[in-house]
Amino acid sequence: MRCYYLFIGFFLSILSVKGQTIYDFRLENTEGKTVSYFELKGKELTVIDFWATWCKPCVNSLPKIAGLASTYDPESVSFIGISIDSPRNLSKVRPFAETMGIMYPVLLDTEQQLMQELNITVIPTLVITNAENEVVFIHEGFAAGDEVLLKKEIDHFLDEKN
Amino acid sequence: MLVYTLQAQSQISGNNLMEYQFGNIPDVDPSDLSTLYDQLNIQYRYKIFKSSFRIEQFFSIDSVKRDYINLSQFLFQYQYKKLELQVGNFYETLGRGLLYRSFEIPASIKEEKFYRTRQGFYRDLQGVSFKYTGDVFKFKAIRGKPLNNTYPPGNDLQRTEQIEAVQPEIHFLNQGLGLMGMRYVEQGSTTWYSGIFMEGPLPWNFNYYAEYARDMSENPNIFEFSEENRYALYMSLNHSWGNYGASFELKKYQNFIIGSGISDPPTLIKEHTYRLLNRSTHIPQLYNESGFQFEIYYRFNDGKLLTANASRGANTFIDVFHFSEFFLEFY
Repeated sequence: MRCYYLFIGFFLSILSVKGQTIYDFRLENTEGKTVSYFELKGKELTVIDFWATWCKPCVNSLPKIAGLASTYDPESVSFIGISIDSPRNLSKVRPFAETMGIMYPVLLDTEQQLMQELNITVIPTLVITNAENEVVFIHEGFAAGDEVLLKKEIDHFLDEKN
Repeated sequence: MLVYTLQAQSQISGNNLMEYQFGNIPDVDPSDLSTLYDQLNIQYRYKIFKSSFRIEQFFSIDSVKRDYINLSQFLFQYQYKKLELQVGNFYETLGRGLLYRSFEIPASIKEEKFYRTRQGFYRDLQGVSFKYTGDVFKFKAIRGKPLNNTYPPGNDLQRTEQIEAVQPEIHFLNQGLGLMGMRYVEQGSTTWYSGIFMEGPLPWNFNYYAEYARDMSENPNIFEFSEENRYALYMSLNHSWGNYGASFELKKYQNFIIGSGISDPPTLIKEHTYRLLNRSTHIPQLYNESGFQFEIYYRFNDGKLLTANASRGANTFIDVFHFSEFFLEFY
């Protein structure tokens, strides 16, 4: 029995993933209003960025992601920020997001329900979904220059669509 | 991570965490221990239905029986528009955690020094929850047994407490007002708690949050704050303008330990990044603690961030003990 479980665990740990479909999650934004994914998603692509105020690579990435978001029509390519900060940091999330230049909606995944649903275990993680709500791209971490890679991926999916 | 589509509208996904460790704890017998921990999470989603489970396994190579294979979590979730129903193991918070907070640190493993066992780092609630999240009115009701994670999985002492709580909220003209009521039961003894919180924007780009919770069983006078009373107060005020942002928080926790520690009031200590040895440098002493935290930061146009943080806490027992932290970073 032990070997059976270990085998399943090892088998699952070496497989890759793509194609998961996102459900219509509902989370509170920084203004206390609960919004749904379907209300915020873009007509062609949706970029979902998971971060926290205490995460250094997230601090590096946020101004770059915010800059990237400003180059697209928000109706077509929508950006959503998901803060996974716990209540001990919640008071900082709104001013922090505004300081980072984030103009797109920031939702609070305080219980990390969405993070677990998408099997995300590290931050920052950026997820791109298409019009059919399928996950088409996942990027973990952030290093200098990753915003160029992300732009290429977004443009690639937009070109595919057209 | 595996995703396997069974049919056009449902899916199975999951992840597995496995860690082998060989290490020692000096002055403990056996000092060297070889262990293997595995955590398997599987979830199934079909439209508005979701079910999931977690199996944890632990094996050690020594003569003491520490091994376990445990179905640690299961969940059935139904979510339709603004309604959500959960049965099983889940995570919920009341307000900002003064009364109750359950949480998980994902992909983390906790080791108990006493039992020399390893397990996932989470404190969940096993029971049922119902939520309605409307535009103006929200409601949350939970009932269940919180996990005491100082015991290993499968131990009978993991879930000896029970809570029942409701939290109605109303949002009007951008202001939010919420009430909390909680009944805590442990070994036949019942304690009632209540709380209130308010939040919203203020002029000139300020935002505030305030929460007050109290043990109503001993003294229901909500305006009495003497040392014998049991209450918790938390307030925050934040502001941003262009590239600058700031937050200021205050806390006062008086005799406010609930059970095995099922609450998690804000610590008001900076949660550090990976560059420091300790992510959290202070554990709040809920018997008696007051203090503040102030943080201000400025983002330069090249993306660099300058952060200054000052926090101070005072614990009054026989003497007054102070904890202070000053932090300055340019990154």
